Amino acid sequence: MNSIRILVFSLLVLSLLNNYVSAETFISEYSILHDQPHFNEISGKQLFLGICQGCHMSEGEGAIGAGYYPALANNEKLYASGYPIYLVLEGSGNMPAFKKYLTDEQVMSVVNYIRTTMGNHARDSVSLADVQAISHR
Amino acid sequence: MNDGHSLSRRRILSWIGKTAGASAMYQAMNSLAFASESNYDSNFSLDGGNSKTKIIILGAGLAGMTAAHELKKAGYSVKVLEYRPIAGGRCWTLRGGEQFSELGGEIQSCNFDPGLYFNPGPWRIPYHHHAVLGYCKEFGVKLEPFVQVNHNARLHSSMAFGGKPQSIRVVQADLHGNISELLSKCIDQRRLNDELTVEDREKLLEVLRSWGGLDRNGEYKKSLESSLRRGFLIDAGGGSMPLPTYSETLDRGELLKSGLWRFLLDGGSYEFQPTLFQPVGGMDMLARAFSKKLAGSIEYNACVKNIHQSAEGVKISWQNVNDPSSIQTESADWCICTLPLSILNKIPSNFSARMTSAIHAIPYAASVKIGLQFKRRFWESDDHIYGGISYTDLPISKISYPSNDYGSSGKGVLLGGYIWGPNAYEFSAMSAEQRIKSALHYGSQLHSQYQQEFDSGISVSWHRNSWTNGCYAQWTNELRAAHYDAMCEIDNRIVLAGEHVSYIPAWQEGAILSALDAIKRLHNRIINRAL
Repeated sequence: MNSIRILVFSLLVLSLLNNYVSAETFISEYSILHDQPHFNEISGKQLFLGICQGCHMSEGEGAIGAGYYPALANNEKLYASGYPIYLVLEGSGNMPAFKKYLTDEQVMSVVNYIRTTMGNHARDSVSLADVQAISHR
Repeated sequence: MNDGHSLSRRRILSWIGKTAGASAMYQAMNSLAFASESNYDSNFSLDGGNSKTKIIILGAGLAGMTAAHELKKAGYSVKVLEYRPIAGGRCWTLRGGEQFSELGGEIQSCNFDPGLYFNPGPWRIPYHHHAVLGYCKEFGVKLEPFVQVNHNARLHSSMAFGGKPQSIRVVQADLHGNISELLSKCIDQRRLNDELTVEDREKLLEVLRSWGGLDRNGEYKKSLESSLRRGFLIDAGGGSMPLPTYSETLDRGELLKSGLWRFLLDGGSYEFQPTLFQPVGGMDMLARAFSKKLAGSIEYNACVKNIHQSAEGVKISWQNVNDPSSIQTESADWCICTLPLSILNKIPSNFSARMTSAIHAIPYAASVKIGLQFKRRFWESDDHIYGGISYTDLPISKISYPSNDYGSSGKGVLLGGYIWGPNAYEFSAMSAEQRIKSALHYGSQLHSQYQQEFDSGISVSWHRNSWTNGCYAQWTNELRAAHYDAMCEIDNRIVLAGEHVSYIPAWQEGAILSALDAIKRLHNRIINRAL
């Protein structure tokens, strides 16, 4: 009983700490005083939670208002890897182009994340070369 | 834009690019595009509209309401469909007692005290935004000065001066002083003899001494002259009070390295040069004045579902937001569509191919604004900052102090973050509570009273906003070349209006001017058809 309590307590502390840390660590530099605006997030999950979920929502479910944001969850369009790579880099319509803010490694990480979570089961994974073939850098 | 204008603009940009690096040029490009002069005709009016001609207007923001107001005056039959229960669109003010919900379902309550408010969208009106000022005058919307530049507000870089904020006054005085001293030395050392005549050199030395606050030896240092610009260590007093004491200047190298001078350019640029105004009581006073004129003509809670036009007219299908089961149809002869492109490009429609591709081409900028209520106006009572804007390289980018009710006791609301770029996406991805927590964390580095005096806060992420899905249409020169003309065209029965159909994006002036231009052209089209 006691050990469960301790476990619950430490999980709680950990989650609070996590929230705090994520608020502190992954706010990127963007100012006319800094050279190049960029995102500091590294892993696919960090990138998704730090950026993508702003519009695509926390479970990738998308959102509907006067217009809508498409769901990433259960989205078979993501299985053609070139499609999400291109959209993240170049944008389209409401989807902003992130090429100038993200490295190819970051694009690779976030694309691999969204293709294999939230009900998506892409079998192949995206390589850096796949991203570079589209980013040309 | 004529060739002369674009040439000089290009030249200016290349100078900035060469001297200040690409990020400065990126900033400058935005502000120069924004800085286009207003073409407002204060005698604008249309004559000869026929009440048998029905014009439907989508969106009751400033563009939609400008169009509706003027077309009604011209004699047309007008109906406006608006998604929200209130008019104004991005001309919006949040006050205590109000709630709003953003995409994802999180509901925020505004707990500001009576009389306090926060403008999540536009918040200032430059003196040369003649159309906005014209309608304020027409409707009797009372204006007061918006303080853009306050020399006692702060400039802060987390990477300079040990993170200690400097006043705008000090940075500006020391920048001007050092430039003046160095240039004076060049003249004294005859380095500019090829460029300047003897007389020119004497005149310029006089300019530099006076403009820069140099002492009689042509030096910028702790002196009466520099203190008259940057302020005194001990201010002058009366009677037997201490004598005024000069202040020490900042280290020249550190000042240059800090880059803080970049922030000075904001208040010096055309769009932010004084005088600027704000409506007394909140920006939505203008929206309210418009909507009062349009009482009975606006259908609220109407979500547009389909836009269909034919040779005969326009058919709009819409749904009541509170009754999703009911689809209603409204027919009209013509349509003025002011929906943001970010919304319009998700609505089934049959625009021409040219227009359709324009509607889908323009991304919307991300931005987040945060309003913070504090238990007392410490920025005034402790820090002597009355209105104006402090700048920081931290993600909140700006803190703006209220330009009204100075010295009042009780709580106060300031703009605790005006967030752009990557940070705007990150703040959009945060919960409302996280945004406030971050704003307080960063703001504390400019004002140590922040945590202790904090009372409540509210934030608006424009991308998470269910009726805009973004802040404003982010045109580039390439997108303008490819799509702007198409977007301005009357597409069969429909013409677009809004800030996105202007060269003054993100500004209310752009929205109103685009509406005036659209209805003028539409009116001509209608009149000529009837003949």
